[in-house]
Order: sequence, then structure tokens, then C-alpha cells
Amino acid sequence: MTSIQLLKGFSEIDSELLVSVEQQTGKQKEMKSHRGIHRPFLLAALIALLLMLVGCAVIYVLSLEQLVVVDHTDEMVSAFEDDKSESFLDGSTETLPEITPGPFVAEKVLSIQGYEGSPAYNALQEWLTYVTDYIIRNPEVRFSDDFQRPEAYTNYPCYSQEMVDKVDEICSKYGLHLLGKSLFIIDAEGMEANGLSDVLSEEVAPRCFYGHLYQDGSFVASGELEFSGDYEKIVQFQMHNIKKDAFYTVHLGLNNISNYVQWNYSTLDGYNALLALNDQTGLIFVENGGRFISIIIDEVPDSNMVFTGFPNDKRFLEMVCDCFVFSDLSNE
Amino acid sequence: MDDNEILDLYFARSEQAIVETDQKYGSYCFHIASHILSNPSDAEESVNDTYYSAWKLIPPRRPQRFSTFLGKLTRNHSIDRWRKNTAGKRGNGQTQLLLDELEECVAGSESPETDLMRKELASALNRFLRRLPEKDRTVFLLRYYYANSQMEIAQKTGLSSNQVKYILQRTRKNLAATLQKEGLQ
Repeated sequence: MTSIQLLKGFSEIDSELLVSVEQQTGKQKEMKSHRGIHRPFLLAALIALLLMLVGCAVIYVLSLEQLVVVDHTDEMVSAFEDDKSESFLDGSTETLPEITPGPFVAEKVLSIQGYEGSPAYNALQEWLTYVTDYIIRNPEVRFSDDFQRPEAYTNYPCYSQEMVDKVDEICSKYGLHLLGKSLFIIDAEGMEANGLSDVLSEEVAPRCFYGHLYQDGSFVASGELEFSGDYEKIVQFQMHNIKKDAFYTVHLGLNNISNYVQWNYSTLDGYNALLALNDQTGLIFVENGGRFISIIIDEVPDSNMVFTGFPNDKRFLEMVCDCFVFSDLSNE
Repeated sequence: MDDNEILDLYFARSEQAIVETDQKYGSYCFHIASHILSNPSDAEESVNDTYYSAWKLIPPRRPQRFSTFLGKLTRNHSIDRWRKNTAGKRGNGQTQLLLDELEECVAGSESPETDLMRKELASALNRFLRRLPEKDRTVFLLRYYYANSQMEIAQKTGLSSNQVKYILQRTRKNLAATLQKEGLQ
């Protein structure tokens, strides 16, 4: 048998196994948004209080902790708890490679629409709390065909009119608007035609450049960047460039925030950016006049599917950050 | 529109069936096709082939779950198209990566693609997948059924890329042993 015959063979597997995949990935989303809300950000509050007390202007230090909307840290279960040794069907055994046992769900859910206290952050937090509770009360609703989302709400994970009403309630409470219809842009020409290639500096030539443009002007741009010289690496990026007054429910799950090196960096166009890097992922957050911009950077494996990891060097992520333009496109 | 209503349109031989299918499942099918075919226009063609096949197959068939029925058709058309496009040359993109990874599970010699062989392979795969822990099965199917990248799988499952990579390696090794044991390798 050849590998293509095997690959095609997967098309014949039972539908219920595929449904189980959908349920598992759905459950993962649910678990991410379930559990307690991390309420008091004491450190941030203390800093704010000190600033007020001393009455002086100090540059505010940005950190990942200010983006956390849900914290699961105390409730994590190791994904590999039962997998300490592995035996194969042919009777052989294998010692596990050196992998740190990790959690199956993300420890923390981060906002990619604004820092703590912003309307978009508060709206996301309220939405996630609501959805968790709603799904627990109505577990079957996600797999029902009974509800057709109204066109204006297709970008929101609503499974019932009640959820649509909640979206409206949150928008009204926090002064946010709906994203509107989205346009899927499949290639670099389309990105350029829609003005989205402006998010990359002129010298940068991305590969596999595509994205989504929402009716309100918010957008997501994805692609690959290849670097040579000191940092020979191909990275994939996903930029969420979202208007601050839009209601956006996409969020980021992260494990081991403490493994990230975090620092603030001034972008080439003068914005204060929060950068975070570990050996697998780079994160860039920039707030400009009207938008909150989040960029997630991951490594592209080499042709042998080997990940060599990101260099433990801040300059690497700063170099990636310098490939992007963060100026406000709100009025364009 | 409810799946049953769409299927009724097929049975009534109304071309509105295709319109409704496209509206409800167009992006789902395109998502599957575009993971296998790097060229978006090829992916579009595969989705069109899917609608044509659905039109030919329904009736007499009335799929119990319309979404996975369409997904399987799209997947097969996309793989066939990819195969045709890359005939005689080494392909590129996600599908080539999938095939390279699956190489370790098979002997590599071309065996005739008979109905019997397909059925045996399908039941072996089903048995194998059912024995897997749920987490491993989810990761494995996201990779080899939906052709998701390791990064996408990590995002969808909350696992790290390294964990995904390890689960895939381990499960491929188990699959190779299973196929060998069942004389299908």
C-alpha cells in the first residue's frame, strides 16, 4: 500500500468518529471559557494606586497578565498523566521523549482585543462567562441545526436567539458595534487590492498571505515570513487588527505564561508594543489610536517536519515586529 | 435550512438543493479542500465536484449526517485533484507533508485499489481509531482527515506543538504496527 492510498483510506472512516472530533474541539473551546474568572489583578491595581499617590507621569509597563480574562491555573489536569510509559501493538516499548507533561487545556485565556479595563476586554470577559454558563445549561445546542444565525451575527458563535440577544446586550452595554459580514481573501493579490498588505513594511514579501476583512474595517491577516542571516527561520504569523469599538469574541489560550520572556518595545512607527517570547511562540501586542493589534508568531517546521525552536534572543522577535506597520487604518 | 429539507430538494431534483448546500456547507467544504490543495481555484473546483457528486448520489442515497457526507466527498475529490496535479513530480504543500509522514506506516508498494482492499483498510482504520484514547484520536484525525497543520491542531486542542508532534509520531508508529499485523501494509 502507498501513503496516498492510506490517506484516501481515512475518507472511509465512520462519521461518528468525525463528529467526536468536532465535539472534542468544541469541548476544548468550552473548557477554555469555563471555570472561574480571574478577578482581582492586585498588582495592576497597586501600581495604578501608587501612580495616583505619587502623582507623577510614569510610562505604564504592559504585560501579558493585563490581558488575562480567564485563569484556569488552579484546575489544570496533566494531559500525559496516564502516559508515563508507552507500549506498542507489536509488543515493543519505548521510553517517552523528553516532553514536559503539559495541560490539556490552556491555563489562561487572553484577550486579543484590549487590555484589562477596556470596553472590548470587559465585553469579552462577560461573553465568555455567559457562554460557559449557557453551554452548561444547554449542552445539545451546539449540535442542533434548528437555529440559523442572522446574517449580521455570522461571526459570533451563537446557537440560539437568546445568544444573539446577549451579543446585542453586550454591544449596547459597552458601546461596541458588530463586525458585520466578513470577506475571505485568499491570496496576496486580494490582500493588496483591499489595502491589507499595508500592514507589512515595503521590504517584506510574505508567503501564503491571506486573511479576513470584516465590514467594519477590522481584519485578520495571516502568512509566512522567511528570514535569513543571523536568524535563519520561517515563521507563520496571524495578525488580528481589530477596531477597539468592535465586539470581537476570538481569544488566545496560553500555557505557562511564566515561560515567556516579556518586555516592552518601541516599534519603528513609534508605538509602545508588548512583546513576549518562548521557544515556540512569539506574541506582539500594539495599541494604536483606534485599534488593538495582536500578532501570534509560530515556527514553520523544516522539510523533515522538525521544529528547531525560536532563538532565546529578544532581538529575534523585535526583528519580526519590525516587519509590521502599526499605523492606524481606522480612517482609511 | 435544515439538512432534511436540503435532502428533500435533492430528492425533488430541484437545483435549489445545490444553492442551499453551498450556502450552508460551502465554507466547510472549501476549508477541507484548501487544506489539501494549495491553489484556491483548485479547492473551488473540488467543492464544485463535491456538489456534482452529491447531486448524482442523492437519491438514491440519503446520508444520515449530511455534513460528514459532503466532507468525505470533498476530501476524496481534493486528494484526486492533488494527485492529478502532481502526477510524475514531487508535490508540495500540506498534502505532501501528510504523505511523507504516512510513508512510515506503509510498505510503499502500489497495490491495486480494489473495493475489497478499500473496505479492509476502512475497517482496519475504524478499529484502530476506536482503540485510541480520545485525545490521540482527535489529534490524529485533525491531521490526517482534516489536513490541519500542527500549529492549528495545537490551537484547537490546547496542546503544545511539541505534544501534538509527539502524539502524531506515536500514533503513526502504532498504526504501522496495526497495518502490518493485519497484512495491509
